[in-house]
Amino acid sequence: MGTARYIARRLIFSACLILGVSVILFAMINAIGNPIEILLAERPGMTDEVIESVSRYYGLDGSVTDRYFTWLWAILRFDFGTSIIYNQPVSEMLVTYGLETLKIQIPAILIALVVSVLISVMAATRQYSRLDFGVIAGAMLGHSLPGFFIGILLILVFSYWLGILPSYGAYSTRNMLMNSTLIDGLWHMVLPVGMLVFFNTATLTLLMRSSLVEVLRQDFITAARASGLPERRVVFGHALRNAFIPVLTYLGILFGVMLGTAPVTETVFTWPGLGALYIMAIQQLDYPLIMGETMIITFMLVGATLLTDIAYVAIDPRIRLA
Amino acid sequence: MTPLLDVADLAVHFPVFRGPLRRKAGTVRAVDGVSLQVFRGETLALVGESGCGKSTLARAVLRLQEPSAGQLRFEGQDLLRLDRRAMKAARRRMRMVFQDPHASLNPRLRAGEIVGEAFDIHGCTRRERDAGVAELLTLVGLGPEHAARFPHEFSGGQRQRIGIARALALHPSLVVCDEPVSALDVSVQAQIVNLLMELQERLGLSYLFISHDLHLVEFIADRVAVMYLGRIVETAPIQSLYAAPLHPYTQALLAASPSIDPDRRHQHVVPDGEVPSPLSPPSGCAFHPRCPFAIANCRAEMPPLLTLAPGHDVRCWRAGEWAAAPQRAAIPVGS
Repeated sequence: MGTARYIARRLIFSACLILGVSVILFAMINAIGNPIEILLAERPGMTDEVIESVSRYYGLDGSVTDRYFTWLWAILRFDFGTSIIYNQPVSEMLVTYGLETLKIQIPAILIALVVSVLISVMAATRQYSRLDFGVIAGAMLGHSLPGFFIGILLILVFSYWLGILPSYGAYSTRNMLMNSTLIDGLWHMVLPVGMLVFFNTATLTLLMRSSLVEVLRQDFITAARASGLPERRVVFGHALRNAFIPVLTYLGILFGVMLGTAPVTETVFTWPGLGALYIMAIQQLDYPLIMGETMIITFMLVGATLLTDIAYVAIDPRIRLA
Repeated sequence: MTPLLDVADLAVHFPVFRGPLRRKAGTVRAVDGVSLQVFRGETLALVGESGCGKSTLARAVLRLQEPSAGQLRFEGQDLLRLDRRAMKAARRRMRMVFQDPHASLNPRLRAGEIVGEAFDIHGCTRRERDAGVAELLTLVGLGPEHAARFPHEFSGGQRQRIGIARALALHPSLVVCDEPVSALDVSVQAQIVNLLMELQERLGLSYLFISHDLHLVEFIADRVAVMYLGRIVETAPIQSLYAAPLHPYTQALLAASPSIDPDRRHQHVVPDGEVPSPLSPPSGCAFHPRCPFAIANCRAEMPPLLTLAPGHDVRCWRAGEWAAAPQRAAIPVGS
């Protein structure tokens, strides 16, 4: 079948895309200037000799093209160098911090998906009812409010006023809740996940409701009802499956930009994830870390797009494998 | 003979809400007191301009749209009193063919799944379903090998064949066809109409056939009901309707329908003005603002449905005049 060829073509295209990003990234980082000179500029008495030897230590001597290919070969082996500030291998840091980010982002997207399906079905099957208008208004509001605002509101209510949930961090430094790392971790996840669920649910509901309303008007829905199919199966079987395509597009984007929005969430809740790390790296010009994270974000985005394209083919037989 | 489908005083009213407080601003009387019968093995055509309530009536007959008032008897059962289970059983016997075969087939399902869904719903085994699907696809001029294809792989005519196969699953007695060929190419229309007529003969089906194409209706129908603004204005056997239409609206419709037969060419009498809004229908006879023969009484009072010949009912105050002296009818039609 053409499916394998289609996937192969998409894979090659994705690889080219990542390569392109790596070139631009490398060029831009170089345009900032020699990081050693910048880092050491405030320390007088540094001789050219010292700068040269430090540059050699970090592999910053040699021509730009040489350094690019050295770097490219290294990242293909998942070696992003050593963080200047933290003095740790960047690859290890990306894994540790990345897992913390995924720990709040993945559950948030999945919960939001389930919640928004239920809300959309309730609203779309009662189009123009009070409930429907309420859902639209709520989703608009949730979609328009900045994420950090919701986060701060959650902290105010649940941490400051009610005092039942922690406002920062992924773990307690002492006195673990119920002496369990697992429960303590989950307890810390509630607020950041809650904020992301709120935000994602709003957007997903807006999309899914309008898509469902459109599908429910179609003749094949009436045809299914006319055949005697129970309403529940009409909605969940026929309608939802067809209403899911625009939602799938957004889900793909959502998984991709997860790391792009992570800095906001992780700053509000002081979460030790990739987002917070990225901000730190940029502020301190930790260029191996910046480059490593940028490449990881690129991988995620391109990967999510690739998966979405493949999912389309699986979900919609009309999409041509061209 | 008891009719297969007996519709009595059926009404479908839609409330209209306006303004920020969504106050009720009025009622659209999409279908307003319609009575008609479909007998076993016959085709009753329902004709009228777009917006006159034909499709709403079709949906109401199948209880896809809950009627506001009236009675609905199908195979001797009072459809409006059936509970969910009995209604589901009744749906096996009354099916629908839709206008647009592109919108009426779920794009995600294969032809076999679309045609076979009714078998699943009504508790048939997999084997029964597969055998039924193959038989139905053959019946409508496709083949069992088409079952694995998706709707987008078929042409418009083929899709409509799938739509017909779906409607024929589990041996229905009544098929409501809502403009089944008007979305198709003219060359394909004839094939589908012939198929429908052939199937009717073989399977003893009854059709409620909705159309705005009077030539097509003349070809396929046994009787015709003409609808205007939610009401039936004339019901007649096919020959008498075309030979001697009694309602001025029917006359105008026939006059507006182009003919290639030079003997049947006649002056075009297009009714003045637009179809009035069903939100505020005119007083008396709803057709009077557009009717060239309207008299004072037409404005004042709704004419009753008069039977002027066997099986020929008409809702017009002056129908007696046209019936007595059809040659004096101002619009020469069909002669």
